[in-house]
Amino acid sequence: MAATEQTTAPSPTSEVRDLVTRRVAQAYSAGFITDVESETIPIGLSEDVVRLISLRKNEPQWLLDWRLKAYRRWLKMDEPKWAHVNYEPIDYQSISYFSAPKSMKDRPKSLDEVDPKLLETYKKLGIPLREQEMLAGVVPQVAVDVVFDSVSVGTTFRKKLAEAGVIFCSISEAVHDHPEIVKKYLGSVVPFGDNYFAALNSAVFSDGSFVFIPKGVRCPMELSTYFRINERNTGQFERTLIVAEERSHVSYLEGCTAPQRDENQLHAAVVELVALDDAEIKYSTVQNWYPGDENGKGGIYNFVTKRGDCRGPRSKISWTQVETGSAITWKYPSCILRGDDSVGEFYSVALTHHRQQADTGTKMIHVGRNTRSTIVSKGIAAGHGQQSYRGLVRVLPSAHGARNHTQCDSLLIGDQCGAHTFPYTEIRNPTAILEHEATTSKIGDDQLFYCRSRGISEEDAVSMIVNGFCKQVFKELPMEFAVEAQKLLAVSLEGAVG
Amino acid sequence: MSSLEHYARAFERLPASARTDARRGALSRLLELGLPTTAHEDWKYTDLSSVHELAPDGGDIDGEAPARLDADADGVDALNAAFAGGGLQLDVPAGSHRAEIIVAGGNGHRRHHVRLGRGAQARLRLDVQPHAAFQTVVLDIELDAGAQLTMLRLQDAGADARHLTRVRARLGRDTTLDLSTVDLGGRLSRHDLVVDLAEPGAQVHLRGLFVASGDGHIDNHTRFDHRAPHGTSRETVRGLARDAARGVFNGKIVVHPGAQKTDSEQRVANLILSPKAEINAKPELEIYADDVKCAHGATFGQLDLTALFYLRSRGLPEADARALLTLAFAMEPLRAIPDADFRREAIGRVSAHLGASIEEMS
Repeated sequence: MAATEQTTAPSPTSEVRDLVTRRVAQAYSAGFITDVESETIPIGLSEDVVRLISLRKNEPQWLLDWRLKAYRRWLKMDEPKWAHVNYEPIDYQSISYFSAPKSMKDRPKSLDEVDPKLLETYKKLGIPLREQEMLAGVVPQVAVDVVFDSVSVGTTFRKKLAEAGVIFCSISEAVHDHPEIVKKYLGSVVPFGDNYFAALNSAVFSDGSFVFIPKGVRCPMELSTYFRINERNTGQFERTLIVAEERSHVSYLEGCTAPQRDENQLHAAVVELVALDDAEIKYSTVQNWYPGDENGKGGIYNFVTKRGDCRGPRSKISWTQVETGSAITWKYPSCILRGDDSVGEFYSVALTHHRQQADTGTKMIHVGRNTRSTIVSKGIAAGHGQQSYRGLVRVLPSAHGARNHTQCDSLLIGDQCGAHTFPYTEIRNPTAILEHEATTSKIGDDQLFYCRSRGISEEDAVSMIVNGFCKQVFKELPMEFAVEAQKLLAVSLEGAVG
Repeated sequence: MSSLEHYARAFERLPASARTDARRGALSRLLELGLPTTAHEDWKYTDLSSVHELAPDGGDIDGEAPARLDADADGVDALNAAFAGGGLQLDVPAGSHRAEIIVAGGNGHRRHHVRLGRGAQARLRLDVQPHAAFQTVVLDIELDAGAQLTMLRLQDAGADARHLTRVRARLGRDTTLDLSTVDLGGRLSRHDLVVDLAEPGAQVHLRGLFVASGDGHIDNHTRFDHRAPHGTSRETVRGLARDAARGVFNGKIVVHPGAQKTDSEQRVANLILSPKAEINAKPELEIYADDVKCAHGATFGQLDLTALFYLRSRGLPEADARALLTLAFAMEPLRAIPDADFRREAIGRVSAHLGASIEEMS
């Protein structure tokens, strides 16, 4: 690896770079390990492992069959190579596919019975699990489902949600309590053989959230899931399914962290959203998996398939993501705009620092008439980070009057990083109107100078400029998350400017 | 692979003098690689299966063509290197200015080489054979410091012609490569343009237009590698697709580490004129340097309905009004073609294709 030290006299730019490098070097605050006794199945993947997971979760036969079909398909597939990322090949036989804290074995009835050590973990991470505190107004009211390695630890506010008719629980519970809904929708947006990682997930998925909003209901509070990987040598394979029936509305948030470790861990998730007539789903993610250290050692491989299906007319699905973590990100939250006049949105801020690599973007598939989509992607690359936007806008012959606007902006901090744009457009209808714009810029010396001359410290100036760059996306986030995201970005960028 | 054996057989039919070691090397490369398939990212939208079976015709291969194969050469390069006859070998000495247009053309597979010495200037026109069942043309360009080359390319081939054209250019210090390229015909037409801005201060300007009609397929792939500081690239491309035709545009700009002060701009606009037509566009950026100006924009749209209404309100029949607006859209890159004769010819052919008369335009 070529040395990057500058031997010339430090220019204002390199000074700023040092500053940012120093700030980014700050420790990953979610990197601690929770010392709980876990039951982790031996490493390796085979049909027996798939059966074991299914047995452990006491699943019905149809689901086991589905998992096995997915597993057999996966065996015949090849790992995709087209993404603009480099990583050591993954040894799928060296991962354990199921790990659960021992105390979770005899399913605690409520959060009060959960191992205090687990609850302490979430407290440390700042995830509110105490309904009383929230009701007292100490923290905002959000219903939370927390997933620790392969199991859901608990879900808050279930009673209140049940009164509104909303089902919010872990997918394992949903398989038992609402099999007809799960059976109807599971795999209907992302089929088990969709891609390599989706097939793997379908075979070994462990836990994730299930949300069902019945006809005409506006979900009374924000729903959120917090994912935590704790055990060593395990993979996390979350599966989330959100169904919004006619005229319903839901806003869902997702957060993720993992301990700081030297080896890479795999997170291969599948998220499926279904919006029926006039329904709206807003899905926000703040992804902060452990990104590895400044030399690229360790970190999470985040290979995720997220897709929303706007099945009914006038339905709407909106993805907002803030991606600051993970060593490698491979993620394309997509919308299939099937219903006439349906709307898809994608707002993204992705930051790569040190040796992080991200290949992320979206797909908008226009099927129905007068469907509209908006894509706003902000990529920030610092250090040796590699940042790619990869997006597809496809207008099918049936999508009369389709409309898309895409904007991809990249901000480069330092001369060792990279920012890339790969926008695919496939247009098969003459009435479609599309615009795609992309720009690349850096934090200008003159911008910094101006801020400094006004008495703003370099650090604050950088953080201000970066926040301004991302503002368009942050304003789409629910308020508490927006504040969180800004903080996270500031921390992740500490020490990066240039 | 048995499906590739016809290449080996065709090779044995070449005159003995043409079966050189270099060509044989290229053949074995071809047998190893085959032609690219749609599984290759660069060939995702262009299916070569209709030319896979065609045995190359090396009828008039004369002597030794420079069959240089790079390590990253693909099946198309290998096929051309194995079967191409010599083409234009142009070496313009330092400081010399050639005013006349030099034509690179010919039948069958061709390989041309153009080199401009220090400060030299020339105008080059690249032609393909309009009725070729299958033709590959490779043109290598080398520009020494300060050289300026204007390249013109107009492809108006027959409805059954299939062409793969590959132009590779290496740009030295402070050189300028000015390209005007127009694609109008052919069943399958692919044009790869790879420009290496290898030394500081190099400039490349591209004006491109394609009009895909009938069941034709026109694919333009450009790749500009900015490897040195202070490089400039400008790309203005307009694409039209009619009937059941398919147009593809892939424009890639790579700014390599250290290529600071690169200034790059790419503008792509597309117009789809029929419900069965299709255009796939991908303007890509790969940037590894921070002090650069890189922008790209791509649009897809239909004719401006307000403008259409205006023209009709002035008494133009709808068909004429549409043709006029379509031609106006296509004119954007043509307007700035530096060579007046070529510009007139290009505009004439484009209007003939679009059924509009140029009198109204001028």
